[in-house]
Amino acid sequence: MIVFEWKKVLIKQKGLLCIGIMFLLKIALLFYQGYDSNSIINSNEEGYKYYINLYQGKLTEEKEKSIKAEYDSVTNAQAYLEDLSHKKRNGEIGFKEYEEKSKKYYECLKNADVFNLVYNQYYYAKEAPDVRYIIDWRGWQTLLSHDAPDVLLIVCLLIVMVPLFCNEYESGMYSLLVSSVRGKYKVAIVKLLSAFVLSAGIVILFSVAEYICVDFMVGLDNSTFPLQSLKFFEYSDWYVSLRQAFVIIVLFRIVGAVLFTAFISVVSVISKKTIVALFTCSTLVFLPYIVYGGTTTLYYLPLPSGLLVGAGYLWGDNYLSAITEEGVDRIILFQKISKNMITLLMLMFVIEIVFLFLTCIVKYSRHTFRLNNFGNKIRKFSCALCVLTILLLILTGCRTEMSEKDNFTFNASEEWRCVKTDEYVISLDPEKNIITAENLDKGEQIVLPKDPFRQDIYETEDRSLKRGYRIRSIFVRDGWCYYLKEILQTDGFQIYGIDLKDFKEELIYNGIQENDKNFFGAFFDRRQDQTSLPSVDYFFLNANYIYYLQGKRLVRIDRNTNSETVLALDVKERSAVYHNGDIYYIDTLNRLSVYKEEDETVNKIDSVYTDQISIEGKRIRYTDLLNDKNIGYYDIET
Amino acid sequence: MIRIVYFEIRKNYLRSYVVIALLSFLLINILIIYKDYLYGPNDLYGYFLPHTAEYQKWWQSYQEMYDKVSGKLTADKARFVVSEYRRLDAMVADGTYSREKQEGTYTGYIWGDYVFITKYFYRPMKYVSTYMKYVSTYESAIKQVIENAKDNIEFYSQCGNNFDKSKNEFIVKHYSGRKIDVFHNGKFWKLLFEYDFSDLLIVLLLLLGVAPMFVNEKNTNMDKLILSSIKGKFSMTFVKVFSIFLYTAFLVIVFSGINFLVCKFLYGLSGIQMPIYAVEAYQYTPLNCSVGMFYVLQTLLKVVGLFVFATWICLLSALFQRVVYPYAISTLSVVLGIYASGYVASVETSKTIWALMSPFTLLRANKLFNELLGINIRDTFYLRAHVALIVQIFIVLMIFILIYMIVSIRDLRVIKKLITRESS
Repeated sequence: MIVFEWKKVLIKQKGLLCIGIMFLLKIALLFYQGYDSNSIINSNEEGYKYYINLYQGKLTEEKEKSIKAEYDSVTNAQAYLEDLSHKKRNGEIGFKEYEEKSKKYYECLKNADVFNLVYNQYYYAKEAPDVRYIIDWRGWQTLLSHDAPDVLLIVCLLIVMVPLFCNEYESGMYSLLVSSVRGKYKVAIVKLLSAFVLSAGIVILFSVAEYICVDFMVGLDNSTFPLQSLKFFEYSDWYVSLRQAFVIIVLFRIVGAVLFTAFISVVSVISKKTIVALFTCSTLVFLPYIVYGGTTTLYYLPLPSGLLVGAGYLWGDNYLSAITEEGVDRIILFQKISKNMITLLMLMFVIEIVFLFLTCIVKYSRHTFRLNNFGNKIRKFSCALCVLTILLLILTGCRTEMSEKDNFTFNASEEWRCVKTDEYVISLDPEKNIITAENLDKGEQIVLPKDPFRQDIYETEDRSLKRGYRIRSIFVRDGWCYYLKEILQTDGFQIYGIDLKDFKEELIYNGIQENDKNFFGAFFDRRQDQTSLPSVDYFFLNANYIYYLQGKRLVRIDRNTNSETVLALDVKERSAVYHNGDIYYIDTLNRLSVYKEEDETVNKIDSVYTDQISIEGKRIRYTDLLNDKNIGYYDIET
Repeated sequence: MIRIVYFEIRKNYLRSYVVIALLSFLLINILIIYKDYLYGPNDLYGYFLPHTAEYQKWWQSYQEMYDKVSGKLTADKARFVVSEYRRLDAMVADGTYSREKQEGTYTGYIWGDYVFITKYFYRPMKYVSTYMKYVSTYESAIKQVIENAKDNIEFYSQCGNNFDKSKNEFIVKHYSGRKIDVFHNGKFWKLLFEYDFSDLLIVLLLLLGVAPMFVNEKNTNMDKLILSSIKGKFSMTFVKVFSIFLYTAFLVIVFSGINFLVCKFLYGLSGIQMPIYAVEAYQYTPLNCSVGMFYVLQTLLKVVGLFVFATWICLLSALFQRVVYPYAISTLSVVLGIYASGYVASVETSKTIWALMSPFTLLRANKLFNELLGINIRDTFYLRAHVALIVQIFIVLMIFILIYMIVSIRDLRVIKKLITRESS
């Protein structure tokens, strides 16, 4: 009989098709959402993986010594490199010896940021080395630390489970079933058991999809490491491995799905209408996320919402600290649920499931054929919906046209704030935050951008209303002036282009997250990327790419896909020159380096040691550090 | 026609479960507003304090002070606030003030008094008052904006840049002559404008009422009977869609009314005639109406936006035999539509277009009008709100035509098949 029920639900009522569609949507959504990460790791994933592979696992004495030694190297790398440089200049050491000794410190400097992240992990693990290991946290944090409702899973359960009983009533099959030998009780029991198994199966399917997708995107290694290895679970009472934690969450979700199915069945049997069952069950499951989303209360409610998320039962205390007028203040965002309380809650949920199961069977088997008993119908609907009401009461660039010829030259050190064209001298005043275009013929000065609502007009102390921006750099080419704008209190930047003919402004690139919708409070992201990257120093662009320098990182953005690639991690401040597809820059070892766009490689020009470069025609002009800072020339064409 | 509309309303919406759901949701809505009033936001930087016993004295003092200084602005009121601010600023400046509870204070503590006066009276009054001589005021700020815009008009006329010229002309036309001569707490109005939980409840009620509209008729085989009657095709479709409009309008007006009444009871909401730009968050709004009129406008836009969504549910109901599919697809559409509306203030044209196509964008009048949001259409500046409205009206007409085609043409084919089968 169970097989018949599954055949009816999955094949006849097209449940399998719906599950398939929701499953595919789930996978698409998982890839779209990505995984938890950090801007520093994203810019140097290779470096981060190198250190994690070296130090991951339980802290040992040997590992600690190695980390501390590496920490010394990273902290003092700049000083060691300068010392070696000085020795080489004085002739104390030869070129080969300098190259050999400086290589290690050079790599340290390049990977300093990611090493500091790993060092922070070491510092955290040091406090309790038995339960805190060093780990690549990204994948496991994505799986275990989110409490947003899985809308696709809930909709899938609604589509598959609601017709289970409602169809029988609406098609008139109920009277036939209930008059048969096994129709009164056995059919109801079989329906419910088959629904429970099916809902558990759907939850397992979706959880497996989540696991596989996250593993594919970022990896889920070291599943046997303790849960407390993730800083998010610092205060958690659950001393289990990461894999066990995931299995526990899936078990909670299975119980949640079974409870949800029981709710759907009871409401279906009482209301006998698909629309009422759909409406009531979706309200009962979605409203708690909106009213109590992100709080502990969600997990105490006798509703499936908390169980369907599951993760919150494993979390520890979560705080939000901030500096207010009275000093540092901290509020608790999420209070952990003790293991004893969880046991009690699970007992409550099981009792609830059993109660709903029995209620459903009793209601199903006692249905009468009083078709004209209007008053009875009203009473039944009113009672059912009153119960539900009481439950509810408890609750709460456009791209500009570039010239076809893509060859141009850009001297970052000079041109990031002042450029002379045939018609104008364009200069950026970073303090006043304006760009001035001085017309060479007429002598008039035009202030750009021409925004009447300039931020300096009205200052507010209301934090929520702050809307300023800073212009970091300009780039002028082919009659267009481009400027890079960083918005205060937001990550990312925007690039605008101004056509110097009619001063029309166009958006070239938008790297700021703009969507502010949190679905009435259901999606509450308490985690933010705490790392603050330095401001962008300068940028330049061509038809296909945008290049910018941020700290020591030289980054390229593909204008078609908006994907970012870090080209170099060792660029000295404002030392780049772009010439016809190649980027020349000085690295932290004062070597002239070149990134070639055509084959996407970085080469070091060993013969040139300098701290300043510019371009003149087809050669690089530089101050030669190996020759008393005399001016030297490097022919680009060779 | 009116009788048919009445029958449709009775058939689809005056059902016991719809009425009970509506009453339950009204109650939940009131409880949520009250909960936010009682406990405030869980935010360290929040403006609103909870209305618990701990803050009772604070709120008492606030009300007394507010009654003293609110209303028409005068030099005396401003002088009083400035003198209190200076007195308390001098007391806390060197950090040697007493941290003990004090008699004769507003909040019981000196630091509390300083925050109380500065945050809730001095700074808001500084924003509006022409009597606060030492800092910039709204009037002088907006005059600067007009001057900048006039300069820009001249500049862009010379350059031949029509779009920016029309944008600055719009600014001069709509931002000139602004003056604020009253002082009321605009934060409570901002709270009312941004309250959107009732929108979700209305969406759920629309799903409940509209999703079974055509499905029920198919299940009872009434659809063929209706289609065979004289007024079966166009009139019936029109009547159904009109009944959806009435249902949507009813829900929006009732919930908006309740929200306003409850907020008025709890927060006071004084100054219904004060201009919308007197609320600091709306200082650069292109509208010149009062806060009361803005709330009415917001309600009307919600009616249009939710009506478009309701016709979309109706279209799905006409397409499917079982109500579970229109319900599920509508739920996913809600998620997608709300996400798209999050780009209403985007600087990217493609995302803006996506937002304008979502009916949920019209539910965000607070975002559409709190700053100047425009779009370039054939080198002319248009407000995004206007474009969104026109796009949604166009969408609803398209949906209506589709519903009519699905209902009449598909069923005609079925009837034709039946007749052919019987005759053979």
